[in-house]
Amino acid sequence: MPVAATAGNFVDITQKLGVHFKHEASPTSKKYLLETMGSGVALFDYDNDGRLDIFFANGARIDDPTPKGTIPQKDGPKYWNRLYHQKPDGSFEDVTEKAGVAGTGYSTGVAVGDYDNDGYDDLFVAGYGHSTLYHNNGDGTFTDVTASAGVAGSGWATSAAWVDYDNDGRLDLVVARYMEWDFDDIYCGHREEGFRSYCHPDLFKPASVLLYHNDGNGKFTEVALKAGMGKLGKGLGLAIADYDHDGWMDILLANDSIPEFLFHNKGDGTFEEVGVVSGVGLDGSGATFAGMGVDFEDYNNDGWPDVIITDLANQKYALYKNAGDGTFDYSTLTTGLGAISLLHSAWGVRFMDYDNDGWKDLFIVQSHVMDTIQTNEPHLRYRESPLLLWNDKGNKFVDVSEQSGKVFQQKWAARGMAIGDIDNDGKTDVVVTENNGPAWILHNETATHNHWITLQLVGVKSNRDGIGAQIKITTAAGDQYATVTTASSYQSSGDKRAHFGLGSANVVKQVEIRWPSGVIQVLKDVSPDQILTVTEASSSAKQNPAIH
Amino acid sequence: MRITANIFLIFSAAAVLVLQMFAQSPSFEQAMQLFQQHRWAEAAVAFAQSEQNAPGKTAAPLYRGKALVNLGKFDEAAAAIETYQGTHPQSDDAAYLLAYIRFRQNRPKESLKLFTEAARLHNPTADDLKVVALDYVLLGDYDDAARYLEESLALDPENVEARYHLGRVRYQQNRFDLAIAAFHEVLRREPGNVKAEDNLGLSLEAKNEVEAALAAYREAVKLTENLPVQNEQPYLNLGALLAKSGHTEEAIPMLVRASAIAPSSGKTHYQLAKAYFDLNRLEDASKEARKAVALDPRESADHYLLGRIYQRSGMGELAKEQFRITEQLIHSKSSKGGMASEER
Repeated sequence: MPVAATAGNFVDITQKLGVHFKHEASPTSKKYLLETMGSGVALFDYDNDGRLDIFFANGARIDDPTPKGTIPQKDGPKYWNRLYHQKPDGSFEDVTEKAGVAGTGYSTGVAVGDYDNDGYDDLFVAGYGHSTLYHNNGDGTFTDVTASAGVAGSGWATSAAWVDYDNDGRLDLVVARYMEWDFDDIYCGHREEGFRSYCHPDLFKPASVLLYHNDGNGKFTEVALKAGMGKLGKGLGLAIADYDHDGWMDILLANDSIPEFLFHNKGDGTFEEVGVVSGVGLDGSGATFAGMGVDFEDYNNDGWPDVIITDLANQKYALYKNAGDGTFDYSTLTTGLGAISLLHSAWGVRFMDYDNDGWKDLFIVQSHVMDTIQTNEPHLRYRESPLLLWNDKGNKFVDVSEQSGKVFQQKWAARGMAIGDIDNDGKTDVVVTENNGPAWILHNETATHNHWITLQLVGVKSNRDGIGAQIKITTAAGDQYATVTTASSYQSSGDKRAHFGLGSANVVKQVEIRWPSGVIQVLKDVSPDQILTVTEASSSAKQNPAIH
Repeated sequence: MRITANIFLIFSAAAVLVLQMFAQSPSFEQAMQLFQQHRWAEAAVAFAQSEQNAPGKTAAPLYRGKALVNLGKFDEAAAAIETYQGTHPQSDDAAYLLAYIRFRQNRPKESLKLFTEAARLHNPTADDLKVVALDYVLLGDYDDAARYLEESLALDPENVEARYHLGRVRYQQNRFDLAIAAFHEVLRREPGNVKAEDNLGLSLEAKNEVEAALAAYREAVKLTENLPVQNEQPYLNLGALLAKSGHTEEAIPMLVRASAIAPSSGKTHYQLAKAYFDLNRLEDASKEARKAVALDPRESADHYLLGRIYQRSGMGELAKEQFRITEQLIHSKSSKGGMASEER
């Protein structure tokens, strides 16, 4: 590790906080693909008490064998999705039953967003066969409004993202779907005891995303085809950003073993898929890869959102630097990520500044998709340690995992990952889910005196969460950028608050927020080390910070 | 493959014995003399005449088959052997030879069936087992290929060729440690073996041991430079890994050399184009990428690279067309998955 790199320190506090979630994948001898894809996690403050709560998606019972056409059901509490409420002392309590979010089928992804702008974040839970939308009643309970909202969907939904794609002030919903799959008894792998494996996606037909336009009356209309998003993919991960600065949010879909999709928002309610043309569709050798998790943030502080997509061993995690002209350059090799990731496989991923030095680092949770991988490829492993990569000023990533705590020696079948500042101490924490295993809450205890600022946006004309707002902060060290989002990673939903490390800067000279409404709001000379709530101004103007 | 040379030695040694056994026909003796002098074409004609003079009386069709194998005329060789088997159904020599011919004809299933039948007449030799293994390689069954190569090596541990193939099979199985061990064994017995050194590099690269892989490729390049006919692979592998490791300037001369040795290899032009692209030498990149596309028009990566080059050169429409072809080729490839036993 170079001298300049700061090691992290992440500590497992799961048991201490009273979280005892275990994911039930229901593995079978048939190696149904569904049982290895895992479920996600959300970090969000459902009761507006200022503390992040945690929602875990869970599987359902799968029989061995399961008849074709079956939609698995949660037929017991062990399969329930779980909502953990954070108490004032920082510990958690299971409020699943009280909140009414136990769920029914095999749940996969989670997306958080206040779709009705009532000030309480709602919950979309993607699933196999059908998905569920829970409206947050504001009293600690949720109501399943899937049917009236019209968002049950069909097929195998994976990740989902809330995004106001038409800038009408209401959050719309994008739902990735994996492919046309059923409980067929297809044998893949060597016909030898212990060698049966999960089948390759090439064996199954692709499926399109679902794009639900928010009609504003609690109802949604599915418009994917009409909006130019009907292209068939094998979607697992979703992220949003305005990659070309045209004022409209674009959508990145991580596809498994076909080109990745970048849906460019044309600003007229329609999209054009430009993955291959823009350079994010394929790797640097023009090859497809097993895209799973994704993030869409600016890691080199040049103002243009970049892309990372996780995949399987021998493929190398794909990092794309936004060239600022509508195209991306494959930067996996030049940043050192290729050598670091060649023999690894990963799912959840986020750019996050764990040491608050002003550069977004990478937290990646790893595992192969095949639990038998080591029998076929002895140099690879199913269970893997998480990966922490320190960002060397946007040029290189340095692997600091080994020096960053015991959790980086643990071997997990990790899948979902959400990030957020759980204890509001100014350092970003991490929650990880395992497939058919426990969840892990990793408290960021990195030793640093660096300053920070976290911005919680409240939209007025824009959607209440401020999702899609683009934030630029300026300190003595330079500029940093972030897009407000709860999407990214794999089947998971992160803290909507935008976090910035400030290094040694003891003042933020300027905060500039470009709201989805078009309003540009500027705050001057903002104090660091605080969580600052910023309410959308009625018009573009410079303001002093409004602290709530 | 160097099987022809080995088979030839076996055939020649056996010929001395057979000459003594079948000395009754003067024309057969003359044919055998030609055979022993490695005058394959003349021998083949002479054996045919011998058989005409005394049908079924000598081993002329068998030796005509062997001569034709040495000439690479496998269809005619098979016909000659089958003629011989008509009158000599218990000839293990003929049975093994026909099995070998089917292998050379890229008919591995038939070859394996014939080897099984031949084994009933006589136990297979180390070389026979090696060919059986290579049949399995052709069928993509690397587990069985490895098993037969191990058996072959148990009979003849010094067989460098079998050990090299074992390394290749282990590489295909992603058993990189075993592959590395096999290539080291080859190099211990034959230090100048370019292919073993080059494949050692590939195996090390697959294990992400970049520096060791580079060293192996460099050694392979050094070895091939001393040969009268050079192999492009070490240059290509060294150049590609240098480029991947951020040493693109150093990679260029290697890749130039690779494409000079193998101008009709699309892969060498592709790698060179990619290195030029990474260095923003767009004209050079375009020239090489167009060569790659011309040589491998079904290779999506070549079209993609050409598209990126056009795009960066400001030739948007040409780029779009290349990207369209790229997606079309990828789509046709991934939709051919079918319901085969495809694991991840």
